[in-house]
Amino acid sequence: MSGRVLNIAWKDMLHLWHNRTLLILVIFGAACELLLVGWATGAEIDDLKTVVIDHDQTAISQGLIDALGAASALTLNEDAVSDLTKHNTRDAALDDTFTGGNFIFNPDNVLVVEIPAGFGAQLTAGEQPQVTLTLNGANSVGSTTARRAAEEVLYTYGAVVLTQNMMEHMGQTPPSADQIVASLESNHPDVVVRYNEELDRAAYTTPSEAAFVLYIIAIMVAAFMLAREREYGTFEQLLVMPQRPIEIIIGKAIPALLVGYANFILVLVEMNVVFDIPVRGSLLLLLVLAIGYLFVELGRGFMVAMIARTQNQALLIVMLMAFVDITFAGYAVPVESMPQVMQALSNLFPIRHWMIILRGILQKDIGLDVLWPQLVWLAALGLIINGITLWFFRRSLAEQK
Amino acid sequence: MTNRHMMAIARKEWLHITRDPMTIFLLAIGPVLMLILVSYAMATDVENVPTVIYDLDQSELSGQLADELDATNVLDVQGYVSSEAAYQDKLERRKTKLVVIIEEGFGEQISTLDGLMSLETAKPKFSFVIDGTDPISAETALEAAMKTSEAFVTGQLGAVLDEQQAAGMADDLITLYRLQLESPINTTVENRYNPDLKAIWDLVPAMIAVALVLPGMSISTVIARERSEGTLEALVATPINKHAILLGKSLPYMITSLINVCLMYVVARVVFDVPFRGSLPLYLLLSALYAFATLSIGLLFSILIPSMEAALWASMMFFLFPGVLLSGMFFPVDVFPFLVKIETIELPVVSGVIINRGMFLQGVGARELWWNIVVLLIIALEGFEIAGRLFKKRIA
Amino acid sequence: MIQIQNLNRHFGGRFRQAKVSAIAGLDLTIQPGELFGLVGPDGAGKTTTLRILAGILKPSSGTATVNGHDVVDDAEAIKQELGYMPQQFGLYPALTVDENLNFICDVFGVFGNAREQRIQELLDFTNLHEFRGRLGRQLSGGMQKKLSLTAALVHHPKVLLLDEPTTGVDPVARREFWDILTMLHTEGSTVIVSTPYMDEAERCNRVGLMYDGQLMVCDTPNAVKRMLPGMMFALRADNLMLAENVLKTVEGIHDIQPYGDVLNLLVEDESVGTRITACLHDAGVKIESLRPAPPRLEEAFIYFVRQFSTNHVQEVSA
Ligand SMILES: Nc1ncnc2c1ncn2[C@@H]1O[C@H](COP(=O)(O)OP(=O)(O)O)[C@@H](O)[C@H]1O
Ligand SMILES: [Mg+2]
Repeated sequence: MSGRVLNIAWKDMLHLWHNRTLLILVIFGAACELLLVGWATGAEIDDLKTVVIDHDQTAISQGLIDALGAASALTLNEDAVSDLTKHNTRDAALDDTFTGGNFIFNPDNVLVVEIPAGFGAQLTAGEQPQVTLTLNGANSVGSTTARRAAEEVLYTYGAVVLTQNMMEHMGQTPPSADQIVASLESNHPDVVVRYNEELDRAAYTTPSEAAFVLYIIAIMVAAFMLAREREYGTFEQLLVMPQRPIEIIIGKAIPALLVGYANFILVLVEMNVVFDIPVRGSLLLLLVLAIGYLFVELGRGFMVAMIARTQNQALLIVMLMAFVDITFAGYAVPVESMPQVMQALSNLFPIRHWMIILRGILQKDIGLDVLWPQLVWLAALGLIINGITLWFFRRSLAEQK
Repeated sequence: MTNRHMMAIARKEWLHITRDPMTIFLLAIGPVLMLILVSYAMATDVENVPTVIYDLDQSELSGQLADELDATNVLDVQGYVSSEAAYQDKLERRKTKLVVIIEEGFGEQISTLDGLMSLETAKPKFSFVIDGTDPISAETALEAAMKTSEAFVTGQLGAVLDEQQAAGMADDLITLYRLQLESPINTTVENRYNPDLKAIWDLVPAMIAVALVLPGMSISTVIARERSEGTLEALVATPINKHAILLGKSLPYMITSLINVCLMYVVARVVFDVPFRGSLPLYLLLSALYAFATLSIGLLFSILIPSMEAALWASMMFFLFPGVLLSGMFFPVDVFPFLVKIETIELPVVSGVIINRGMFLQGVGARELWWNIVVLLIIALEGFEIAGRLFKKRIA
Repeated sequence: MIQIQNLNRHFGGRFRQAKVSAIAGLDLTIQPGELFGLVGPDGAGKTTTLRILAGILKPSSGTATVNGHDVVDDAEAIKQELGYMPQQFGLYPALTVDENLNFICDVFGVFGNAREQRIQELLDFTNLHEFRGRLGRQLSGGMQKKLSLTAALVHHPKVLLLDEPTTGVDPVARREFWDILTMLHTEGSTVIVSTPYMDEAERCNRVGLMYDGQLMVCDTPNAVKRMLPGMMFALRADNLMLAENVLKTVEGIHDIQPYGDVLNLLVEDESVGTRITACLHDAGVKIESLRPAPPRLEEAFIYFVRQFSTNHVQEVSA
């Protein structure tokens, strides 16, 4: 049995070896993806274009503008106001009719801060001036981040100006701005962030990507490999060979398994070295579970190939499937926030459980005592999926014979 | 001549697409299907974040705080824990994402004005532990928890102040205390285009652009297919113009892309109730441009990568990962580091997302979108040009 | 019409791949109106030659012109006047016969009545009428070949390049095929056809025997056969196996080929005949008949290959 299985596996490995472009893509593609996505999403957010309209034009309002400019998330778009006044021959800053609406239509601008006339006077008098923040809702992630940064600046700046002013008013020497900021901070409740202490986005996206790598490679190798044989009619050749269906499936699974596994290890190393995300839990456990997970997804890959009639169809189906899978993996939106039905549904997607296992071991250092439900799910899904695939396979064998 | 050749190829390619019900189904309905499936699941705001309370104070006020937190949309207080080990365990098992720890003396602290008197006693007697694995939802949950709890504390202290004022406390002192409670500057936040910050408004236009990568992926195997089927040899031996081959091959995919745009537009408006504020003819025009740019890239892949399997892989790797994850749908492109930003300019989908969001939500026109239009034009023409230059009517 | 001068084409040689010389120093001139057969075993370089002539493969060095157009600089002009039938099925397996032919007509601008007429005509010609609605991939190998030929003829090409048009085709269809080619020839088309079958080569008005990328001989079939030294004997005997073994040791016999119950012997001259009779008699083989026979191209080809490879080996070792 094992000899005949290895026959098939060897043939597929040879095929891969002869196609150099494919070989390079298969081995290094995923690692490059990870780099790109990790770098892209891991960066500090520091470039959110912000426009300030200053109707006040006092030293205090200027101080606020400087403070906003100093915030790391925001970048002041200083030309916006002068650009507008050029065309209108009016002084935008002093013209009350100018509001956030005049600027926010520009897809570049994420936030407009409008400082009202009399801002300085009101602030020092403790009269709570009203500052308007206009957000570009078409870029919700960016604008939310910008709003948080601006609110933080407004609060701190206001407290500093106000406190210093009050103290002077009462005839005391005011503390320095730094002291005030320090005391404000000590007024905040403590926050302990677990598992991803810096709330680093790369620490979120790269493990996700690592999970996807294993997922997509398993699916692609399995789906494309079998779809190729079906499209080119070499499937017939498989049928006349003495192997039993299960042996063919296993034989075809081996190269996919090797490729997927090699990629996974490469990606783990890359995460550790480049992005500084170590495996906190048991590496051995992770590596063992990865094999199990690969088997589950390989079954789905073969299933795609049995449904698709051509490689092109397999490609489209894999893409559609990947999208749905990524959705239910909880990558973009936490599964807990989804409607109840969707939450229940998400259990049927192996990647959901794999994501939990991967994150759990990688970031939380937890073991099987906690992860066993995921394991049970994966085992059950694996049995069902591979059972269906085998049935499909047998049926198409019977059809052809 | 070129025209005739192009139509010949287009007709043949169209037959290929429509011959197989599965292919036509995947190309004509695939993107719409993707839009619907993904939007339904993903268009969820971060809410109902599971939260537990570790209450060491056990006062009436600490109970009220828990109720306040539970009353927010974002948080869902699921109960109390009685030890550190207990919440630790819940965090690990993902039964909870946020733990609110209320320390002993919390109720007392906010029933007197002591906290406002000196910095030493000001430290709030509550704190949070949060699961940071997913930073975006963690930040949202944390913000909600902070805002709610601080508002609660401020409200309590304000009430105490009111009592003191009634009891005859000096006005000067009262003002000073009040200033500490109130925020120095009030803010009005106005969300343009998406006032309720509905995630679905944000997601659907972006998904329309992303879903249109399907025809682009599909076209990236057309040349490889001719090669592997052995038909390329006969094709290049005909006097057919090579640009006609490329254009002819794109045309059917262009048609399915446009059908999809129309279908997705209707789905967005009718099913998901997303407003459309731009000009429809311009939108169709820009969608065609975007589809063309995507197809150009697909075609270029097809010519660069001669083998079918490698073409399949390359298009999957290109269109799915950077194409989707870096499209600006999940993370704003503006925040990417410079190099990656340069990289993403080459992705038509980035401009596609901006154009779709701009036209659906912002109602902007060609003037505001000029940069993205130029980028798409360059990608489309340049991609096609390079494809034309690299495509040799030879077999080796 | 076609001129090839010192043509070379090699493959590989990069990334540690072995360098294969598919054509090495080919010289050939073909006149208008010829039915030229390019004959040679698998790997001789026939396909490579035809591809270069069709303008779809660049030669490594040397020149070739078709109708006065250079195959490198003027490839597109050649393609206008050329019908090329690749060795593999070059039409779309997922399209029907009709759709495939319509596509070719679209490409060559054959429209309206002219198209209907031409397709009718060609389908009559190739007996494909009843299969018009069938998908390319559902056709048998022979029908696929016929369809490819039909497609190559749609635009009345001046030059036809056919790469092994009859490989894998049953004998009846093969005969039909050659009837078609002969008809095209008599109508004045220039036809170049490659084939591994010697019996087909006999039907060409000129053949080139190709081996290892080179043209060994190039002349009319009769002239080629005449180049064969010595003569042929046809032997019938009761124990051909034994006879073959015995004769292998006899001097003056260049080649022995069994053909059913006949053994064809290529010998130096008539005098060898007596030696054969003697040897077989000694070995106890009963001769039924031993007659001089007309030589065929096959023997000529095998003879030339032998000659050529021994020369070649000598050249290399020298
Ligand atoms: N694309 C190619 N790459 C590498 N070697 C090739 C290629 N095409 C042909 N060859 C080699 O060139 C030689 C001649 O091939 P070909 O012209 O196909 O012969 P024929 O058609 O006479 O059978 C063979 O050894 C073949 O392996
Ligand atoms: Mg050949």
